[in-house]
Amino acid sequence: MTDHSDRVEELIAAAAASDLSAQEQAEFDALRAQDPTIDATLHELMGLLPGLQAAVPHWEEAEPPQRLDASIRSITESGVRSETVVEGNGAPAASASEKPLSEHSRAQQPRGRRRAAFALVAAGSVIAGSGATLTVQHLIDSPPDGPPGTYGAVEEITFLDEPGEVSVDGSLIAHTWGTETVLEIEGLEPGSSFTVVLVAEDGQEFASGTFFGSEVLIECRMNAAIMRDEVERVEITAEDGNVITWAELPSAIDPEAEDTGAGES
Amino acid sequence: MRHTNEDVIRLGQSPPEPAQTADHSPPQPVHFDVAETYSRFGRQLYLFALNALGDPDAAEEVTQESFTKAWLARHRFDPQQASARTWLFAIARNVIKDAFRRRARLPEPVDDRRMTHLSTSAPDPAEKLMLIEALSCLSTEHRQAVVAIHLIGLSYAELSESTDIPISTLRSRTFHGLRALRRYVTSSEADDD
Repeated sequence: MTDHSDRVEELIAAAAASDLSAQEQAEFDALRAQDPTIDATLHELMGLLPGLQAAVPHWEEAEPPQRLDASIRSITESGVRSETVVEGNGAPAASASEKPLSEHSRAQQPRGRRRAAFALVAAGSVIAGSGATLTVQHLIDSPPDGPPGTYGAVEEITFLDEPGEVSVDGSLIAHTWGTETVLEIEGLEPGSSFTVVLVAEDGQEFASGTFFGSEVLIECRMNAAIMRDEVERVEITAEDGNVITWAELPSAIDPEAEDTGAGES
Repeated sequence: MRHTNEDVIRLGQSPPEPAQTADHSPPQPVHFDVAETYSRFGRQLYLFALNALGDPDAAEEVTQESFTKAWLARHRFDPQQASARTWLFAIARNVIKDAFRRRARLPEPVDDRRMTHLSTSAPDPAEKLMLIEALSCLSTEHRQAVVAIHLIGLSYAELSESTDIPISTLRSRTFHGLRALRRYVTSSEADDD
């Protein structure tokens, strides 16, 4: 496309919107008579408009939600960890990040829950292998110590009302970007989908990820964009929304508010 | 504990010496920085998804999934072949198409007021998506001028009055916005050929 002077560009823009005054029209016509490339440019731009107007009858201008920034930044962090914890008896265990993402969105969750879980679980790790017998504590090398809420510290939690054969060991790790849940799960129905949900004090639910039940031990790490000191309860729910088991959490500190000197994670 | 290169690789840095054990991490140094790419193109991609799908929740999911897929496939990213934005938007287009397909399998009640619109000749979905993508990638100033003048139908005088920006500036922004759109569309069509 030919370059034009600033004035010609303004007149072309006005002409394309049928917004030329009579005086401008005369000026534009004179310029067009001198420079045929002006018409070529005008036609190129105007040729775009019918398609644009048909394709985009309405445009919404909005900022992405703040939580999206945090959750996308956590993709890398979670994914790196997910590969460091692979340990077993030979072949690398399958991780969630190697599955098609569509598999992770099979569960029919309420929209509010599904939002956060949609892809975080893809970056988290679900390791289902007979040799994958790391304990939760061993998943992290020399974590910082401190009360619940300390950045990077592993906080063991206890799940209650586990039905029948179901056994869940869990820990939480507070991060600057949210809360990580580390789970070892056995006994959930193979193939069925389950969701890890962090419940805030005000009852708001933050989905942390979904996983499938398996005949072997499942280890998984999931993330949610909620600060640890705001989490009151962790739930594992079935596809129909029923709570399978849950853990009540103690109060946690806000490291930044109390300046505990807890390490960044 | 067995370590892979991923233990120490931070995106954009060189990998350590080859590990002694089986390695299923990316074979080459990778140069796709999720955080930086999100800072540069996250808003564009979100706008693309939002206007393609018309649903903030779906747009958030698409943005998240696109970046996740990009990161998981980062070893296939070659900056010599395409820019990070080109690569990311190619992924996003597929994620949005998948979202359309999922929606197509779910019957939705149709508002009677939309029936007339639906029965008219709809634009080609691929072209529609490309134009929304192109519009998303304009600068905010250029996009706002193009949208106000050519989609909403304001006159330059009306827009100038509501924004306190001179008409000449708005015309210039619209011109450059339309020209950038044209270039984007032309280059996308060339890539498709």
